[in-house]
Amino acid sequence: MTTTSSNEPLLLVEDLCIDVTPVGGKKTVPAIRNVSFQVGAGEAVGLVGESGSGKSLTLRTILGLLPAGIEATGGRVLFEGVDLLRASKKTMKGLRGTGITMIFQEPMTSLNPIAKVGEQIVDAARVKHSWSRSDARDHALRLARHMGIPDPENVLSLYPHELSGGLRQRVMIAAALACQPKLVLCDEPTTALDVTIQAQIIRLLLELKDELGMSMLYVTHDLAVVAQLCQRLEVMYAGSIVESGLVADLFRQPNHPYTQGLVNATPDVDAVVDLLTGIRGSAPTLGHWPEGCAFNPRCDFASAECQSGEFPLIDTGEGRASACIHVEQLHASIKDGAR
Amino acid sequence: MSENILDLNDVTVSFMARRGGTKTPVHAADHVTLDVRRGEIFGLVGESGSGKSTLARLIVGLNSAASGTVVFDGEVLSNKKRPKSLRRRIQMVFQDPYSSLDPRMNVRQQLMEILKVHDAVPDAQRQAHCEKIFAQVELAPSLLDARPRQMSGGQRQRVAIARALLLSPELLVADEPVSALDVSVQAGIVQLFADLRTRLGVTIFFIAHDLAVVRHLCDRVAVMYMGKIVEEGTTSELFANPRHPYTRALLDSIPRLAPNAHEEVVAPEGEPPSLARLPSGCRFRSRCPFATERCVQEEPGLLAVTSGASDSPSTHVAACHYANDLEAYVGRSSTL
Repeated sequence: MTTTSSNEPLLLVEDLCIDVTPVGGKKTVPAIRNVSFQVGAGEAVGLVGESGSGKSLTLRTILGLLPAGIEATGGRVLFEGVDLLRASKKTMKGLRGTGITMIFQEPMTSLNPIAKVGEQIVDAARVKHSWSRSDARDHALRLARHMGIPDPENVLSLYPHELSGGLRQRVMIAAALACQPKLVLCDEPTTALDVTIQAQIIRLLLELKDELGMSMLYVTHDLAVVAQLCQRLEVMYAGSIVESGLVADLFRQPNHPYTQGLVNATPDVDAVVDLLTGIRGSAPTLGHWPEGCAFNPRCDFASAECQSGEFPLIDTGEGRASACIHVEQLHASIKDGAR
Repeated sequence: MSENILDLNDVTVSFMARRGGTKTPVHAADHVTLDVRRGEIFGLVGESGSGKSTLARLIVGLNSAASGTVVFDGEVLSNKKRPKSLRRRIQMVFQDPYSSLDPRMNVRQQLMEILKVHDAVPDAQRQAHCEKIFAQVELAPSLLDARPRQMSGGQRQRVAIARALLLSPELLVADEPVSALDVSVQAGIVQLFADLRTRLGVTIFFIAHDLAVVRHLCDRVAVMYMGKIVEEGTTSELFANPRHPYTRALLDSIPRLAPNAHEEVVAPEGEPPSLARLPSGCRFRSRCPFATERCVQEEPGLLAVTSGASDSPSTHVAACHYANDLEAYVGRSSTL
């Protein structure tokens, strides 16, 4: 480890709450409830959950990109000590690209379709550096080479629609990293890609992270992708974090039935099991979260206690935390299953 | 009744691609031969653009073959519009249950409409039939009166499966039916396909890009790359002993749940070529770490894989000149 970190994490999210007011002026419903986590310097943290769990919303909040009708109603998002929820527009503008940047899921819709991709990297680079266009172009070319873009002179003069999905994502990453940001937010950047291309992008992100010492907050629904990229994992369900800890620990012995369910539901290509077990039911939609522990209707360990009250994340030692009150039963059942 | 429910004999499906004003044909499926046996779950895997969906659409009659024949239950199918009596025997489940159901009709109306059009079940029994099919896909009868938007993705996909099963088809073509679903729901749908085969004896042609799902569900697997079948065998043969470098690349690329997996991320080089500009010889050679001059000159055909271990005739084939020469592949599973 060459990066030295002070005690203060690079990003600290504390008790973040977000409300959504649906179109048509219906009742406001919570979308994020008391979410707290942190990302240290040089660290890669995975934020995993199913659709509607609030993982992408959390990312957008950090960058100040919440659409109309969605509002942060409580908590703090501290980036290097600055509260981004209360920062001025000018401060946020100064941070985007240079401090924090984002790689989106679908490069086709996040790149400008009517600008050559080279220009888009150049524009991104000139946000921070007062370079001439030609200097910025040289920088873009260097970056493109760095991102493993073949024949960069030619590729940079093309439009997004002329590129394959994998190349587009490399261009996106080049534009996102053009100003050497400290924190990169990744919103499922490999989900839309084929598996061989996904492997290439994961390898690229790993190399870049080590080389540039950047921190990463990686949102995905795929536990295996997190296993490859991240040291720590936050598992989200219905707007709350239900479990948090080191990736290796969480997979070895989940402390929350939902994490356990996700691990079991992920098919393993190296082995065949008789019965692939999903989690019964489906994730609740916004505005229809169950009372008490939101996971209780799908949980094998749910008791009467689970049906009301609050279920905050409780420290279980060794840098882990879980929101489940039946961790012991869960562990006992995992042991039984293994025997 | 023939043993094979479906035979594709040397079929090619072509589309016209416009390149700089001139139209040239590209072959989305290029001289594909495969057979599906009655009662099995046959898996077809490949990346986007490999031609999997083209084959699926050919089988249900949404694409027509430029050459070659499609044989269903011993009968050669023409490219003409199929009669209802044939259509009801081959049904399809699409990838996206959000766009494949009619948003303005409730589920009961959608199912009843099909029964009416095909006049498959006597009038008086139609309601009961819908409920019976609903039970088969493990949905509560109360959902019959729901509209698609009131349902979760998993429920919608079960409705799509119910719709496909309504006319008791012999062959179910499922085109990436679990790809759009959340992981926790995906497992249940995969299990449902396995159960339906057991309970109803329906043959399933299952298309996926996720090899793990295919390994769990299918009896036999074919791997497609750029319009060609590059490897085919029983699931156990193919996963235990993959012989085509592309199959190996696919297997290597899958992220593993194993902790500290990030210490070894294997990724194949390069990107798939364009169908309109295929390399000479073997179409995988531009990405293949083992490619030689022979691969540039000569397109490999499907070669029987000789397995030293078993005496039984192997059904395992791979379209690589070196399928039997390359060192037996040692998967990561065995090194972990």
